[in-house]
Amino acid sequence: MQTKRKYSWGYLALAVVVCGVLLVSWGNLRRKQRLSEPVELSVIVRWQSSEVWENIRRGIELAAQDYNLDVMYITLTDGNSVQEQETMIDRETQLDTQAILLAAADQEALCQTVEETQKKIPVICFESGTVCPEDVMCVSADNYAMGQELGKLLLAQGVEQGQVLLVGADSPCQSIQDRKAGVLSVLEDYPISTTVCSELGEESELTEYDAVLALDTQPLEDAAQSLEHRPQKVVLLGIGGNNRIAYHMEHNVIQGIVAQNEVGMGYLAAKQAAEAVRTRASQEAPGIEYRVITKETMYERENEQLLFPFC
Amino acid sequence: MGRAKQVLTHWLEGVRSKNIQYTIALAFIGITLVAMLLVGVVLYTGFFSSAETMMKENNTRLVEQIGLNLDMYLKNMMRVSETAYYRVIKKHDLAVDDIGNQIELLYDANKDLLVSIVILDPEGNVLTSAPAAKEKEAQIAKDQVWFREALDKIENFHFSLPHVQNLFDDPDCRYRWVVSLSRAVELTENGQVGQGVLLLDINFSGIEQIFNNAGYGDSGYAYLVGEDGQMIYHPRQQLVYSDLFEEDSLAFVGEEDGNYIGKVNGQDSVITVKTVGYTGWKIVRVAPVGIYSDDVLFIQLAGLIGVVCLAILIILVNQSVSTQIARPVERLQKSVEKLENGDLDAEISIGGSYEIQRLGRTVQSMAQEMKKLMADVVKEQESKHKSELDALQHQINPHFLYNTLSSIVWMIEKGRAEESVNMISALSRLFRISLSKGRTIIRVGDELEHAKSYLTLQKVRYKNKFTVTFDTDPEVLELSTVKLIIQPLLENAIYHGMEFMDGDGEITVRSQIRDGQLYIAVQDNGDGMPPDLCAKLLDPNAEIKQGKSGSRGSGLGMRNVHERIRLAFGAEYGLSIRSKLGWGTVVEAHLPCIPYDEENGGT
Repeated sequence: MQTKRKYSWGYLALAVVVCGVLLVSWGNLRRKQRLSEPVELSVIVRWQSSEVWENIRRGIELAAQDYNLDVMYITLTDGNSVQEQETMIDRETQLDTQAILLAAADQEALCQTVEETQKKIPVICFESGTVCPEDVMCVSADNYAMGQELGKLLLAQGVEQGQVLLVGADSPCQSIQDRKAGVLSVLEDYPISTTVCSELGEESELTEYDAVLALDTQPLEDAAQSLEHRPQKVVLLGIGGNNRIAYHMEHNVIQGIVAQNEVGMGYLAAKQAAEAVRTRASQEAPGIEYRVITKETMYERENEQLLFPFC
Repeated sequence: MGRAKQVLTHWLEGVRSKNIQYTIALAFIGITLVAMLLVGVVLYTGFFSSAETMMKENNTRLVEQIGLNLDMYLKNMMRVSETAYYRVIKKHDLAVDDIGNQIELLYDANKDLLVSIVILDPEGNVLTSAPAAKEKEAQIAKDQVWFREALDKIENFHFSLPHVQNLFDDPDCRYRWVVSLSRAVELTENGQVGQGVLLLDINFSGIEQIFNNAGYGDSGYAYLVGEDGQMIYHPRQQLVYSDLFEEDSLAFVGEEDGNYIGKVNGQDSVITVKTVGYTGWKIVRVAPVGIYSDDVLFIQLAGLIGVVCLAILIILVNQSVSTQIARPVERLQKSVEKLENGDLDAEISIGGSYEIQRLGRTVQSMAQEMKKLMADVVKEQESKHKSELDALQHQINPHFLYNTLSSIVWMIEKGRAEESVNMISALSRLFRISLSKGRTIIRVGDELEHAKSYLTLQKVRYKNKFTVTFDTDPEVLELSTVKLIIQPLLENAIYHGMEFMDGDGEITVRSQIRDGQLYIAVQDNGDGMPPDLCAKLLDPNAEIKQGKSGSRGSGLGMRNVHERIRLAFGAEYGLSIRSKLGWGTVVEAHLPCIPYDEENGGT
């Protein structure tokens, strides 16, 4: 009787082991299967121009290769339109996308939509985030610090007083507002007054300004294009980096920039989205590198690699 | 060590004390699992070893192919440089001839591979370039590595690390990554030979294509490092630059060409290194081991499940086999236990394999034999007890005692005191020897003494109707005999031979040794017996008619003597009767010659 009971315990233990092994195997296979299935990812940017997002897009594509992502890029038809972004978020959610990467056009206005969407699928901001009550991950360089670096670069150019025009600083984007705050935090100790405008047109009168600071890539490109052929030279500095900006810097239209690693930003944002879908685990937002680059330093190895990315 | 031995010994003792089924099952399972483990390890190792060999071969083939293509590509660029130098620059005086067209033609012929061909003076000023382009305002050629190296080591070609081409303005804002091939050249101007630098900016995408077209798909990757370990090409180049992909470019710089096994990004990988001829660059191919096994984890898990299932199957089969072997043995053991406990009627289990069946039958046969022996022993004992009881009954025959005592009384009344004393003395000796301190074996001398005492008493009763002669070999007196065997024979001789005899009766008691055997015979000259009666007297199964006086002389006494002799000394001993009507009867007891001593007297 005792022997029989002992055998029964033995069989039970074996059954438990077999079940355990099968469960682990099944879990592993299921996990691998999940990993092998592509994640559908929608990328919603601000501004219409896709060129501005070229480097970020390259990063996302690299991540798409590494993490098996099906990526849908969505640009806006109406500038920095919050309403259009909301519509796009709703549409993509209804189309069963698995995650959304969003460059938020407005740090506050999008909160409700983002928070509601986040209950269904992961929403990860990149480049520009939100200030919603519920935490929404944002993959971006430290915009405030970049603003500070821009302010210091202005001072380094010898502009320590006078009038400075902040182009694109009226945008409700979180990244722009942080950068603006960063710039102002540096300039507040100097007799420098700032004016904010949305963009610099061909006809814009600049005689009264000692310097122009563009707080985003598109306004910087526009400002450089506007100033390129003017006889009057104004110090133009900005945040952003691409071939066109580099070209203007080489031709002394732009005196210096603060550029972030956009490829890295796109890559990490997409990676975070993939991991959020697959593991459902909340993660820390990774930091993104940024560098201060001038005409003299633009061909230094690290700056060259940041400004003219391979891919 | 000592502790381990102690534990092992303890465990072995524990196993030994378990039942046979447990031991067999444990041994089977142990042996099978060890065998499975060994086979598994061999197969597993063999699988990964062959996968590794395949990977190495494949890696080598791929790296050779990339190396060949890259070598051809670079040699092609060097040939263009040679052509530009020896066919164009060397043949012309730059102050007199315009070599721009020829350089342009050379560029056009190779423009898929080249970004530009530039001739610079020792100050870094551009003398000629193709395609024609506006120089950048800040001329920085002089400060660049490719320029300095060309002038430092004038006899060599110099390949730079990839960099953004920065000599010319591109109105389309294109910034192209190039590898600069530079060399020092002799420039002739107004007949004066001076030094300059010939620069070919090689389109980096050409190198990229060579690696991309290698066809390794998802099975790892290959990268290119310079002599000093600087990264030249990597499929994740921008991620490497951004520290989002770790690649230790220095890891294999100092290594010889060949295959290596190591960990890359935490994965066991086969790494193949090949040096590109002139440049000293190294192609490093990395192929994780897992990619050849399709899915190592899956194989491991599948293997594990297989092993567990097989182990369970083996355990069940082993248990079944061990049960089939052990159960008949256990049943047999239980049967033997019953036998041990005295149950000779217990059913002996016969089953299992041939050997166990044979063992069962042997035990069964043994049990039957034991049972028979036991029955015989019981029967023998019963018979012995009965014989002894009969002997005792004869010894204290009440008629004999009554008659003897009556005779003594009568003699005393008649004043025959001396005769009375003799009779009482004889009676006393008779009882003393009958008792013999409880012994069953006594000296022959004592037995004869007992017979004489008996005859003394009987002679009084029968008023000397017969005479008795003792013919005794003195050697027999100290031999052993069963007690009280002569008296029943004398009693028979007196009652059947003498009582109704007309003439003088003669009884002879002869004790002698013949052929080393002891013979005690009682012979009378009475009427004798018919042969059929003689034959029946000693047959235990034969029915004998009651004698004239009840049990007295019925033959039972003689049979009792016969049985007691056989019980004491064996079946070959006992009584024999020879009788003839009108002649008399001889009853002879055959006994072994065993000298009497105190030790054998009690048995």
